[in-house]
Amino acid sequence: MITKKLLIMNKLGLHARAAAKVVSTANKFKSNITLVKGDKNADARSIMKILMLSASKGSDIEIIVDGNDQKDAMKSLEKLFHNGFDEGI
Amino acid sequence: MKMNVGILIITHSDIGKQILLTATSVFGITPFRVEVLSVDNYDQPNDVKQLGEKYINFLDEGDGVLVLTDIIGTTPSNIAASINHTNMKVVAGLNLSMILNVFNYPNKSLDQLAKKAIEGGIDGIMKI
Repeated sequence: MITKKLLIMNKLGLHARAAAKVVSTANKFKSNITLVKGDKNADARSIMKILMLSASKGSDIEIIVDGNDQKDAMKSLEKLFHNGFDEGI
Repeated sequence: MKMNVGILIITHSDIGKQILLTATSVFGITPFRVEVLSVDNYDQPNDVKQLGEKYINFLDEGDGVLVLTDIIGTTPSNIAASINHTNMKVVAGLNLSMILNVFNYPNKSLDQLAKKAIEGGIDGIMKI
């Protein structure tokens, strides 16, 4: 299991299109992936659970990845977060 | 196993069309075969029902059709409920979070999708 804290850097936060990108990234891997914000957590394969985190710009999200391809999954998610979900920062 | 459930949206006026357009822009694709039926005051319910039956037969590729409608007890929902088709499920209460949750799971069965629709619709309603 690997854990990493990532910052939401894009202006619109983890909004609908960004959440859909997290889902499609998570679906490329077999590992279990959970996003945690404060006391709430979300399955990274569920757009609604991600949206329910209400993660705006500046939020810290802890990513927990567990499975055979956990390293690659974390790498892809890190890239997505660092790119501001491909929306620029 | 990849499932091919079709989706029919039956709503008042253009609500269904707009919800579909928004959900499609969120995912960048429409992950199902979808048809939309708008019901307006001047429409004859029987005509809409016949059209609905045509759409459902067209959409059913063997794995069934999920019908999403806006408000229970109203004409769109009554039309949906009156359609006779062996492999369909009707869920009322359509909102954007319902359709996002359905689009999230393109490979699920009809029963599972009906469940996801209800869960997503309810999840999106909360005090913030």
